[in-house]
Amino acid sequence: MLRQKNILIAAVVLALITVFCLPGFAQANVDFEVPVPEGSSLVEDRDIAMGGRQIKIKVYTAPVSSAAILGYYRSFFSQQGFQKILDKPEPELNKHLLRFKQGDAVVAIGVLNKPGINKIVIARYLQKAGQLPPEKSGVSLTELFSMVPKKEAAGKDLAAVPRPDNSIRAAFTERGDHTQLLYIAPMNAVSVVDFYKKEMEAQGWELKREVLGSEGLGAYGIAKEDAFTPENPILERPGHKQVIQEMSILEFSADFGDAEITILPDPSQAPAGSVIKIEYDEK
Amino acid sequence: MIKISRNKARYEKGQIFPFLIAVLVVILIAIMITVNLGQVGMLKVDTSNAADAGALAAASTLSGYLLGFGLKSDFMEAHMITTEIWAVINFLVHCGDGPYGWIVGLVLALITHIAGMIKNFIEYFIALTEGKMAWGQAKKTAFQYAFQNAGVDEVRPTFRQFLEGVYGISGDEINDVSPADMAHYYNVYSIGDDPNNAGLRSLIKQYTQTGFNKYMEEARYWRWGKIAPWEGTFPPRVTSGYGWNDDGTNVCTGSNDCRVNEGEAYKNYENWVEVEIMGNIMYPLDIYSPLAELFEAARDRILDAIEDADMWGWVEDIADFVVNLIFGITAGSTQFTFPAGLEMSPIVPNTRQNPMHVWVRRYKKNKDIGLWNFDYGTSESYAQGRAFGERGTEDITPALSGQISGFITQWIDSGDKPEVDDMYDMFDTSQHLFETEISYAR
Repeated sequence: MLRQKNILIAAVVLALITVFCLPGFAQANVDFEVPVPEGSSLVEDRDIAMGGRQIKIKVYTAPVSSAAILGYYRSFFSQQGFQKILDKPEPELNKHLLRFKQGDAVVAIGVLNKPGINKIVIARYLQKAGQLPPEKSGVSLTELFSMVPKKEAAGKDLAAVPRPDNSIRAAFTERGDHTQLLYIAPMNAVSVVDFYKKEMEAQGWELKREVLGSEGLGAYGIAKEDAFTPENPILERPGHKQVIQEMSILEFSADFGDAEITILPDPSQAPAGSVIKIEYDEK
Repeated sequence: MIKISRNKARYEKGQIFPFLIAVLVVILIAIMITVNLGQVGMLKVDTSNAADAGALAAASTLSGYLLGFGLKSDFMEAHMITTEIWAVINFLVHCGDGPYGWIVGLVLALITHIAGMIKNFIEYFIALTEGKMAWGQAKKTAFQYAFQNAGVDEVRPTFRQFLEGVYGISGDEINDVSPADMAHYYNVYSIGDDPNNAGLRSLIKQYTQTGFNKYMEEARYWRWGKIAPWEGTFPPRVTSGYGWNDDGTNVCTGSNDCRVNEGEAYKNYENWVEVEIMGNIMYPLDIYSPLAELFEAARDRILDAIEDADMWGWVEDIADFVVNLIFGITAGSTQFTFPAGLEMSPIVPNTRQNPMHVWVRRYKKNKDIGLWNFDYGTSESYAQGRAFGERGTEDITPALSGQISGFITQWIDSGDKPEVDDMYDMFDTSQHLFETEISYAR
C-alpha cells in the first residue's frame, strides 16, 4: 500500500515537472532581459515563428550612436559568459549585426543606423547544436501566415465581391481598374470555397474555371516521375503540400468584371482558418 | 483414179499461216504479259501512292503537334513571367508599409507564385499527355490516308442483293414490284439512305456500302487485338489490314468484324491491303527555365526594396531567404527551375532524324482464265515522312522577338498588373513552324 502511494506521488511530481518545469526551463534560456541604452523607446515587441522555432523580437529606437551601442553589447555579453558568434558590419545597408551564444540560447542584435534614426533589434531564440540559424532555415507557410497582423488593414471591401463573416482584411491595393485584397478568415478552406461559389453566383458572377491545388500537385508528381522536372523547393517543403492540396483557385466572370479568388487553408489557425486572395478587374 | 492438177500441186498459198499463228501467239503472249505487268504495275502504283499519302499525313500531324507544343510553351512562359512580375509588384507595394508590410507582401507574392505555378504544372501535364498522344495520332492519320489511297476496288452489293437483303424481295418476286416502288428502291439504293424509313436505315447502309466504306467510316483500322490507343502510349510498330472478295460476297455486317486485324483474317480474302507503320512512341517534353537571369533581376529588385524598407534589422536576411526561395533560380542553395517553358530535348533526333515509316502491301489472288494465269501476287511500297525545321533553328522553346528585360522593368515600375496577352505578343511564333516532307520512298 505504502509502495503504491510512493509510486503515485512520484508520478504526480514527474507530471508536474513535465508540465511546468520543462517548458519553463526551455523558455528560461531566452527568457532574460537584454538591457538597452538609457532613453531608448520600445517600438515593437512580439514573438514570431521562423525556421521551426519561436523568436522573441524587441525593437527600440535609441538616442545614442551605433558605435556606442555595439561597444556596450560586446562588453555586456562577454561579461555574461556569452560567446560572440557574429560581428558583421554591413555598411551598404547601414547596419551592424552581432550574435552571441550561450548553450542553446542565442541573442541576435541588429543596429540600424539610418539618417535621423538609430534602431536596435534584439532577437532571442534557441539554436541547438547542428541546427541552422533562422535565416538559413527559411520560413514555412504556417509561420508566414501566423505573422500576418490580425487587425483590419486600411482600405475598403469590394461591393462586387463579398467577404466571409468575421474575416480580417489584411491587405488592400487599388490601382486603376484592378483591386487586390487579402483576407484572413476563421472558416476552413472548403467552407470558403462553398461561400464564394454560392455568394458570387447570387451576385451575378459565373464560375468560369476552378483550379484545384490537388490537381496541380498530381501533375507535379507525374511530371517529376515521368519527365525530368526538378524538385520544387516550395512544394517539397514540409507542410506545404498539405496546404496546396486543399488550395482552390476560382475564376469568375461577369458583365461588370473578372475576379480570381485564391483560397488556401491557414495552418496557423488549425484546425480551421483560411487565407483568401482576391484579384478583381472592373470592366 | 485421182488426178492432181499440176497447177494445184504447185499451189503455194497458206504457207505463211503457221508462221502467222506463231506470231499471233507471241503477240498474244506479249499482250498478256503486258496486261499482267500492267495489272501488277497498277498494284505497285496503288501501294506507292498509299505509302506516300500515309507518310506525308503522319508528318503533317506531327508538324501540327510541334506547332501546338511551341504555342503552349510560349503561353506557359508568358504566364509565368507575368505571374512573377505580379508577385514582385505585390511585395514591392507592401514591403515599405510599416513593420509588417514585408510579411503581407511576401504572403501575397507567395500565393501569387504558388497559384501561377500550380496552373502551369496542370498545363505542363496536359502537354505531357499530348506528347504521348502525338505519335499515336500521327499513326492513326497515316493509316487513314494510306488505306484511302490504296486503290481498294471492292464492289458494293448488287441491286438484287440489296432488294433481297433490305426488302426481302428475291427471285421472281421482283417481277411483282410496281414500277413506282422499283423506282423508289433504286433511288434508295443509289443514295444509300431512306430518310423516311428510320427502321431500315442501318440495313440500307449495310447493303449499299462496301465493307471497306464501313471499315473506313468506323475507323476499324484503328482497332486490333488487345491494343487500343486510348489505353496508353502507342507501340512503335503497328499493322492493320482489310480483305475483300471480287464478287462482293461476305460483306461485313455491323456485328461482324471479319476483316479486322485480329489474326490477320483479312489475308483469307481474294484481295487484301495491309498497312504497317513504325515510328516513335512519344515526344519527351521537359520543363525548363530559359530566363534565369531575368528572374534574377526581379529578385534583385525585391532585395533592393528590402534594403530601403524600414524592416527589422537582421530579419532582412530571412526575407532574403524567402525571396530566394520564391524567385531564386541560381541563388544559393534554393535552386529552382520555373515551369516557364517546354523543352523537347534534343530537338533534332525528335524531328529531322525521326521519321514515320509506312509500308503498304496489296495482294490480289491469281486469276486463271484458262489460257492464262494472271499472277498478281503481293506488291509492297515504303515511304518515310518527317516533320523538320527547314532553317534548322525551329524549336518548340519560346523565342522572344524583343527585349524582355525592358518589359519586366516597365511593368514593375508601373505597378500595374501585367497582362499575359501583352507578354505573349513578344514571342516569335514562326519559330514553331515545322515543314513536312517524304524523306525517302521506294
